[in-house]
Amino acid sequence: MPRWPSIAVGGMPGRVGLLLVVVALVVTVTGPFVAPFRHTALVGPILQGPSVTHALGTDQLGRDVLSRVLYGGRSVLLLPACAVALAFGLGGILGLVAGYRGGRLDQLVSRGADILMSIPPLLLVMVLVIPLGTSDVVLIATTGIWFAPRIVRIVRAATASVCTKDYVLAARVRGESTASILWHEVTPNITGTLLAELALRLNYAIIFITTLNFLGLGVQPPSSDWGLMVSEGRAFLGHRPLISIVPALMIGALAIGVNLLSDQIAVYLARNVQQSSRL
Amino acid sequence: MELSWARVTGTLLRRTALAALTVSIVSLVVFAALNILPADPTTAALGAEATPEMRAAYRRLMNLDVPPIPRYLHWAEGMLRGDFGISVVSRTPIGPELAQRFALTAILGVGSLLLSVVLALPLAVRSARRAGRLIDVTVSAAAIAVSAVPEFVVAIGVIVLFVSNLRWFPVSSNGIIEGDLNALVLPVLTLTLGAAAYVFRHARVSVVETMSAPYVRTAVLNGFSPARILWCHVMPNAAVVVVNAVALNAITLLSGVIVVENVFGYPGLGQLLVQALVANDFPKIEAVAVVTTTLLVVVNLLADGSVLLLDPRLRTQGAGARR
Repeated sequence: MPRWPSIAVGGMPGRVGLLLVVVALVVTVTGPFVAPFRHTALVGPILQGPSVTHALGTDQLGRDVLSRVLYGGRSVLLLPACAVALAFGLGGILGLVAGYRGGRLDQLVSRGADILMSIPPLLLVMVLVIPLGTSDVVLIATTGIWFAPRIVRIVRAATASVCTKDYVLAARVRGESTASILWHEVTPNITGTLLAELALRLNYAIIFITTLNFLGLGVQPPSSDWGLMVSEGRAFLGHRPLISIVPALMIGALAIGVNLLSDQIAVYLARNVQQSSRL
Repeated sequence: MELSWARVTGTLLRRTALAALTVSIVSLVVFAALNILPADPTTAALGAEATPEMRAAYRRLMNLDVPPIPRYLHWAEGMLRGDFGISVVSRTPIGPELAQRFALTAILGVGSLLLSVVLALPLAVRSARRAGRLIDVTVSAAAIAVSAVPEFVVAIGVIVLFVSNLRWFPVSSNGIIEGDLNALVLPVLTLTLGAAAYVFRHARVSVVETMSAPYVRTAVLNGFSPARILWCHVMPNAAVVVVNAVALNAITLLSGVIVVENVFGYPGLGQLLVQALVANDFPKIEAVAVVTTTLLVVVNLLADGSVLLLDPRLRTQGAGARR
């Protein structure tokens, strides 16, 4: 049984990735406690440069930029995390069952996934926001449902290949239930694939949700959210670039970190496949 | 292993059917989202302060007294005939505006796509031949960074570098309407970077894998020149991967186009969509959504078709198992 945490940091990219993710996590989790001001408080003259009281200056409404950055990570982390969890819950179960059972059910699930995957998500969310509004639930649900068919595909393929192995046949002969086989025999053997996919999807969800926030279709002002902050500070890039650049860098650090961790696991998996096929 | 054109036709027909289904589903969802889901469409479009006269006029304009299903069919049939309706804000036909915006978006998208392949392929080949060396590590790291972050973060980086510091280009791309080609540079650059990173990563892996394949070793042992091996043996395989990457990238590129057009004020379909959303111009939103989706599925179809042409393995019997 491989130890995934140590594999994820088994190389330089993985270590850099972990470092970036930890930095973003620490800022997000401890940020609200150490922030000098409330993120919505109007505390000074507008568009000030960095000073002792306002380390990163103030924004177009006179709010402390540092405090807004420290508060602004929660939505960037939590919304994508919930969306990915939803996608894995939905897609994982469907994919496991479809891959294990095969036949008509598999056909139905796979075709459904194909159709959902061919619909452009950003476009759809932009339109659905009109009747549904821009609540967190809408963001999580639309992102989760968009990702679910991809998870279905990957889990289905991984499950189908594991199911041809002798130990699954043995479990079936022992008369174990489908749920037990899926949980005890199949799941442990697709964990690596799932982890790499989980990290990659988290990366995409961060991109997707921050983009919606940037376009003004997600988290609404006066909330502080890194994507929203980049958008609000855009007009002042020439004069007070820190308002946009710092949150943009935070998004970048988090997204690149998660992506590197995913890559590291994928590299390990690919190497193992090569080795086992060589033997 | 016999070539089977029947299989190719079958695959293409299936994909075309899927594409048509996708456009129909999107048109249904968009229509429902704007006409059926809101409790009162006139409030959704005009706001709560609208007077009864305004509401009545809007109902007449949008045929809201016709039941939803005939209304949808009428609207969809208009779309098929190329009648995209009338903007409720400017009261002008949407079709001509859509055509102009479409052309501008096509320039942006196709230009970036071509440039990204031109930029990424040589880099990928170079990186693959020097795998693990400094140039490979540097370019690969840059590609990972660009492909992992949202497009608007790349755009902000481009603006900070080329507008704030170097002052080379205008930050607004609205000048494209007057034919100012400078306006194209920053949007194209931003989109190209994102697409190139994606193509680079896929092409590099493909070239590395192909170069270690037994048939390439045979070619080396035959004493063929490196150039011949690269162009006649390695690249045909890499081309398949690149076209596939472009196809998979089409949806990402579309969201990139929407973001980049809005960041730089480039007057294409993506900006039109956001403008229509902000103005609650429902007929325009519907038209842009359907046209953009159609564009996307056509790009996907073309890519699927090219992959079938480029990769004889997909045309043989039993190829279904490999996909």
